[in-house]
Amino acid sequence: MITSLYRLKCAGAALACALGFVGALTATPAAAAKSDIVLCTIDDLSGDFSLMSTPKTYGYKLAVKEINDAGGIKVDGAVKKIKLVSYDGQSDVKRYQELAQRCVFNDEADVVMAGYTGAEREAARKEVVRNKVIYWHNNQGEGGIADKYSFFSGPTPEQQVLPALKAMIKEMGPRMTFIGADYNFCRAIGQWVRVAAGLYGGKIEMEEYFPFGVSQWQSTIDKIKRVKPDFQVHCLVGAEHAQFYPQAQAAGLVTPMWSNVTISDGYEHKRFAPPSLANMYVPPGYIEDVPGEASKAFATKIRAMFPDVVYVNEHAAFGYVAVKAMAEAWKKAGTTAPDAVIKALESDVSLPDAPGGPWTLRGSQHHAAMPTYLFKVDDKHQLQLITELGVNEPTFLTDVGVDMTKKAPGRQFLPSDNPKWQSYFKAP
Amino acid sequence: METAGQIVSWIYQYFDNFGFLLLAGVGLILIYSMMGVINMAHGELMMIGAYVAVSAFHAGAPVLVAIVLAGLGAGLAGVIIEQLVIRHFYNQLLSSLVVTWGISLIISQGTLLLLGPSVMNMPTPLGSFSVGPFAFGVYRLVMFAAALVLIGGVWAIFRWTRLGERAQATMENPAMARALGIDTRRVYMLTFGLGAALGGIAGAMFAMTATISPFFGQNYTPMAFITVVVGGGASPILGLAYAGLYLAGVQTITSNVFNEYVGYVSVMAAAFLALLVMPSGISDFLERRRTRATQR
Amino acid sequence: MREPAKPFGRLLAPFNGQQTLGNSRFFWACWLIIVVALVLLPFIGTRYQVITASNFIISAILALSLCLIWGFCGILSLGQAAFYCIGGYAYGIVAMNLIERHGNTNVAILAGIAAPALFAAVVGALMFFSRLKGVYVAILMLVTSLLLGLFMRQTADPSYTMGAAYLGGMNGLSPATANDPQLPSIILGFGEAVAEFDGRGASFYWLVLGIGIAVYLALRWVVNSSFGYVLVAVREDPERAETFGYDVRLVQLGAFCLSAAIAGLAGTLYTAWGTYIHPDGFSVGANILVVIWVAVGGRKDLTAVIVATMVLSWLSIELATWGEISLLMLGFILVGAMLAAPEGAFIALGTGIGRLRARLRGVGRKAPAVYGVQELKP
Repeated sequence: MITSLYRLKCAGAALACALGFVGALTATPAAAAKSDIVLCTIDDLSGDFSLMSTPKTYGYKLAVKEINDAGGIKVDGAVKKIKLVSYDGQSDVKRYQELAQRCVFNDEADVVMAGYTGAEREAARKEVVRNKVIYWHNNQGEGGIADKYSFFSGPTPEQQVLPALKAMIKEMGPRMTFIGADYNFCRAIGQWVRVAAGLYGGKIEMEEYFPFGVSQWQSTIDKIKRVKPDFQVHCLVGAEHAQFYPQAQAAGLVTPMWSNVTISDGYEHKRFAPPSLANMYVPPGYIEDVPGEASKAFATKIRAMFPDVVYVNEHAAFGYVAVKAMAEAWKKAGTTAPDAVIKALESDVSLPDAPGGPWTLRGSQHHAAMPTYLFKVDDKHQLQLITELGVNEPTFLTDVGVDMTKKAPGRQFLPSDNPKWQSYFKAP
Repeated sequence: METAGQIVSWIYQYFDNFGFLLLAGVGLILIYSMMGVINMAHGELMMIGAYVAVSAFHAGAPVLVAIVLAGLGAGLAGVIIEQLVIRHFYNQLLSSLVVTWGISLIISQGTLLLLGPSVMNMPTPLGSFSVGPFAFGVYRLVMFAAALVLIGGVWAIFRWTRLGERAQATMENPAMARALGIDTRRVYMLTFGLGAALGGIAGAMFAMTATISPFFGQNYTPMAFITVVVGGGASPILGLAYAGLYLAGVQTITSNVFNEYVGYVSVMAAAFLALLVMPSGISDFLERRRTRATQR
Repeated sequence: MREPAKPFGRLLAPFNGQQTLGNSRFFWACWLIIVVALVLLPFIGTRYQVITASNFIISAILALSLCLIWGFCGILSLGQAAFYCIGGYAYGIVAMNLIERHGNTNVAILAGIAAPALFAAVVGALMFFSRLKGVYVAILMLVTSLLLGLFMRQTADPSYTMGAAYLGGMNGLSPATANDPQLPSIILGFGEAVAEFDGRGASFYWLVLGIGIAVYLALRWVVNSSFGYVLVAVREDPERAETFGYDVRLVQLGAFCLSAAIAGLAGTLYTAWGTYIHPDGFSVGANILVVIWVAVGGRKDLTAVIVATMVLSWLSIELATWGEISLLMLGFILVGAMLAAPEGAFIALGTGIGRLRARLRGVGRKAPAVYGVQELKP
């Protein structure tokens, strides 16, 4: 009797906890009737990617502050302010999925902006768009996503890989090697590099992909040295891959390098010891070093609001741009109803004073036209502007036969889907 | 000259891979085999070492002094962690895994909050040498040598010092050791501190080849742990060396014959196979064979 | 000294025994209240809470699967999340290929359970017949999971398709072409008579809740059956169990496969819940998370593990709204919980409150420790 009674007590305790849990779950207050426009953002504020993504929240906060200080936006017959709800995705893909649901159902967000990496983007984006809410991704991406509710403020390979490699081939010669991380983004960049080589007369002598975590590069360095390319194309991601640079330096591999994943996100020229990145060429859409009044003014505003920032990177700029573009669209639509706002966005919303230079969202593409710049990292890790690559229009979706204003297929296209480019993807 | 260079390159890569596994694993195996603690925070101790070394370097200290300071800093952190938390988890492999995972979150996120995305780096010293068309960094050979010195040092401590004797006694039979008047608590504390210091030194050495962030160490922990476990606990130091020899060999061969991707996968597959064939690690397997041979 | 057998008690008898906490009528009464409260959640809570609760229950099923092998059979796997992911992928791939032909996901669900069980049978046979044990099993499973993850992450190339499904690398499973169907949620039934359970709705929640309760009761029955006693015998002393004539390897293999099947079921439900599956689940962090749920709850009791999983999952999401300090706080909570109760905070809490109640009633002042929780020192 004693034993069974005793067990009973233990059980009761465990149950009490469970009851408490149910109570806690149901006690969370439901969202009140909306008097604000809700902007919900999910970014990596802790974990591996926090160094890159935290500045994105600076861009959001600055844009929201500017809009609200100017009085807000008139929608649905009332002047409303923007309410910024910001979550920490903890560099964890599953967390993005969960927090995206929180944004959609709990906060009843009018727009969700989330994700740095492709995996984070897809986890959040799939959840947001299947519930018919507008989604933005605000740093460089591989492009080609044709979805009614998804918009992209950052540069795509059409603005980075194509014009920059054209310049590189002209400057250095046609022979190149490609090494990249083995995942979606770099695989897509690899395809775009093939397209660039095909269009501008380049020749890819070596193309290899590496899993994350590879940190010993001597055998690859030997291979590249044997090929003796005119320049190297890199898509190396993460701290282990970055160990390529000091190892290449020690092994005397000094061939110029080109990479679109370095500097613009992680400001590596500030974080690595010089001269390990010397002779690296990068094509950012925005970084602090981009010339122009708008660029200087933006960096100054960010620094005034967040004095601790080490370097104002593309995340800050395109986060800011996306919020401003949404503000324009809400103003134009006069409502926050998704379909009307999408129509407004698709009417080519334009921001002439964007930090990186005049930025225009192309309605038929859901991607933007913007200027990009080719920089070179010198021996002391200063950035030298080599040339302005000019404003490049996104046309890829049109090329594969998609007009977003008419019908969105709801999938991602890669260069190999373009019939005109088939010959570039045949095995050598 | 081309062939000579190629052969040197293979040998160099082998030493590089081997040194990497030894350095990452040396502090971990000490704590694992002596105390029965899986220290998931080992990478964070390496990170502390890296930050200390880089700060000291920028304050004007010579590289060697910076490395020694890194060892002291991480060792001190280790002793603090041991006193606060680890002493409740001796010989509880799995509970210690969970609790040290928590500690690693606290240290890495705490560092992120404290130092923010501050800029930390340290150039790779010592330049390079070349054979034919191939050139090699000298520093990575120094890392290999340092790994050997550290392992030799640990072995010497255990073989010839009083602390070593007491530690061995504690490892064999803690209750008996206590009965004989050994302060096992102190032995454990010093062992953990020593393991942490070794991690700190390794972190400082890696710091000169990598960028440093609060998450710097996390990438080393899983591979280091796999090496340690493949090595086995029968004679930890030798086991680590065997496992390093074996895994580095597989990696060097496969990554040159195929590519780095195959090399990376092969290391995992090799660890998998080794565990199936030698269920308690390489050193245990060899020890048993030796015993059987002598019995015969 | 037994309680008098009542009809209600006889009904519950198979689920009660020494291997589980909470065998009394009081426990079951509370249990019923909670179940009723959970069933009513869609009527009192918001939609977000219902969706999130589905997610938590799925996590709890995964945690139960680890509890079975770690807590009762003494096998810690650091690769439990791998079975979960295998189940998730198997469900997704089969569902996308068959949904248009069958109109339901019956076969896909079976595949999501069978695939990880088969995989566990192969890996488990290799491990247990090589007499692998302890931390070596844990690491071997971690290596297995990392290898699978390495493979799945590099499937970004468009050539990695299985029928209508494109593996999709780190961006997760998706349709192979624009004409192929999207990953479906759960659709049960035959022919025209089908019922769809959308992961965002209450029906899915009730389905998951039902499955969760079924798994919980089934496991209580298993661990309190004679097989459960053999499991515990193997945990406590494999050699002695062997001398009694049990083939320890077969017992371990059986428990391992059952556990993998349950983890696969959880993975299946997860994929259907978000209509999304990605290879992050094979990573070190995802595998350790399951261990954390079970360890903080107390690996030797099913109920404690469920409660811990729910509380920790809820905490992690709430902390994510706090910004930068979220992971730091989680670290402190973990270390604090483990320091306070190394054998499991929720088992300890249960035992503590139980003792208090006994004292209030003035009985069982010297109540013996509950057998299932008692730590046997070697």
